[in-house]
Amino acid sequence: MSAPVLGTTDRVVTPPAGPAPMVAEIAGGRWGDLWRAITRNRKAVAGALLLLVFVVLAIFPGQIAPDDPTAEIYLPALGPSWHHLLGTTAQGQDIFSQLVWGTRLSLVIALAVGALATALSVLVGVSAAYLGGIADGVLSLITDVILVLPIFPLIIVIAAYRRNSGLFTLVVVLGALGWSYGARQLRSQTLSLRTRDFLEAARVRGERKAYVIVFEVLPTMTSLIVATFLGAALYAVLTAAGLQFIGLGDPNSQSWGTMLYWAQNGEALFAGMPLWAIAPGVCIALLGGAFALLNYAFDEISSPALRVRKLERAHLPKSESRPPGPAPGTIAEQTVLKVEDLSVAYATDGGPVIAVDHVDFELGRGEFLAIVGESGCGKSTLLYAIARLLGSPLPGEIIGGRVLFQGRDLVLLECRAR
Amino acid sequence: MQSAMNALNPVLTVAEQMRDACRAHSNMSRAEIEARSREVLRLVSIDPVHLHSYPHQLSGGMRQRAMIAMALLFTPDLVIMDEPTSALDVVAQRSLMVQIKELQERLGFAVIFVTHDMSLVSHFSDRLLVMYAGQVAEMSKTRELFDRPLHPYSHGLLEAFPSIRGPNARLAGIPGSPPDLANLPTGCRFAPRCPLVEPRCTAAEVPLYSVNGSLVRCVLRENGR
Repeated sequence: MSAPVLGTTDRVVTPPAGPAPMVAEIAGGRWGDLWRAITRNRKAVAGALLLLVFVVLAIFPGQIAPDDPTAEIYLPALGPSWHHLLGTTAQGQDIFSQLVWGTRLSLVIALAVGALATALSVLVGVSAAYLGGIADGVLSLITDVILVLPIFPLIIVIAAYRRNSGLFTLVVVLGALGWSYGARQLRSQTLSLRTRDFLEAARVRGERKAYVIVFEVLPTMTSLIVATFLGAALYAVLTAAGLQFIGLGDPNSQSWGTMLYWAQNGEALFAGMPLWAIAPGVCIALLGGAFALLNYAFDEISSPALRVRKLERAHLPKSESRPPGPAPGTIAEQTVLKVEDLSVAYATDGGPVIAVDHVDFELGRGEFLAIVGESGCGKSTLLYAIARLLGSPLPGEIIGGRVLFQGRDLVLLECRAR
Repeated sequence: MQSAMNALNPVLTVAEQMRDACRAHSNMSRAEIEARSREVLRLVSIDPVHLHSYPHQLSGGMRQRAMIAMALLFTPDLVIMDEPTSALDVVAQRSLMVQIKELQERLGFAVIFVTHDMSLVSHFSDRLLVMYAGQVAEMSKTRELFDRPLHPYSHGLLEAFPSIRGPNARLAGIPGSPPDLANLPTGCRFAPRCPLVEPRCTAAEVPLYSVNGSLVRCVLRENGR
């Protein structure tokens, strides 16, 4: 058990270690706040918009693309024109149509593999950590074996063995081999949660293990699980494209990877059809980028400590200019520390909050000064400012005043060091 | 150092952590560091054998004192302490305070000591600075503040803990809770909770008034009484 903490310790409110509890809080019915957090996060907006575009393409390809992607009805190797936005292939197919129709399969593979791999990692990782003992040993062994297997060559072997067997095989193979990394993370996270008091309480209440895992452990790990899903989806997009590119998917299916395969076969770059190869490549990169952006954004939203806030100095109340105090050198020898007009502010979502407001005091040699006040009155912030420890764990900023320690201005030192 | 358990690295011995501090700030030799570490541990009355103990092998009070010892490695002029007694029981609190005071008198460093427990510092500090909502509410000599608190908030704080020898009076807390710093009341920040509130309190920001060498932020002391 951790050290007992008396009820009234004056701890500054810091986000709890790990992203977990914050998500539980967000998930607890504060959808409005969550929505605002997402719309305010540029990474989230960019990622979501990108993904949305691809989802629309995947659902309504017929409305967007003019032609049947497989119909070889045009002249081969046309350049881009109004009629063929991206030109045509060596077989006389419209590249833009192929691209649009290919979205569906690429996206389905990404989401299906993501879901499968995440389900497996949650199942294996969380049960391993929570059950412990032999179960943990066996499950961890399996995880580790899959983790050290050279995945891509293995997938090539398996996919080649079941050659051209289509979407289902591809999803199962990628999903079954892509979960180990997430399982390791979830296992460690669960291990660190295992001895927390709320889980001990659930054990003492006599809850069943399945209940504890589903209702107590999993909700605290939402952000990690979402990150696992997005990571697995990203991995699926890239690996599937790679497999299809080397011809191990179904070459007659419509996807970006298959397009790359045919572009390679048709020597697109030499034959003057660079867009045939570039367009699907860009799409793969964009879809992968969308997942990566969402992943970062989710991290930041679920763990506010990661968010970079800027202090909006314009919103600070104008401080009345005071006559400058004596120059640093002229302070009496007996003064060890002189705090002049010190103000500290924290940046919050609701604008700057001034936690220490124009504080002055002097401290003589050998003097004992006690600072008292309720929790949250700025005592600790004041000390952190004097000791130049602001930044972490307290993210405040000194917005005015001086701290003179034996005649040297610590605030200026800080500025110069930056 | 509100909790010494978190401030000390649990996987390094006290000696190793002291060595880290010495390496970071000076170029003392290994033997010098060892000697100095022993010396400061003795200063805070911890047996130097604990130099090779891990933090979990020490009691809460010892950990706190080990932290103080570490702060004393370089004979500082100023020691800043943030609630060093918050995780200790009253007996350990008391002995820690006595020790800090002794060391201070012997080594002559100045101390800034943050606490929410006024009774704790009543016998140790020279001056008290009472803060409220980010501002200085009152700054006085400790003795004077205990005898005659100038600010209603200081008065409230004094009423909020029992006196050991005095009569068993009912404790009066301060009603309400501190203001939201993002949304401060106009005028005096303590006005919404103040028992002596007057209309002029909320009219304008209250400056610090000087009363017999003390500073106080309350309109009642406007004319220096």
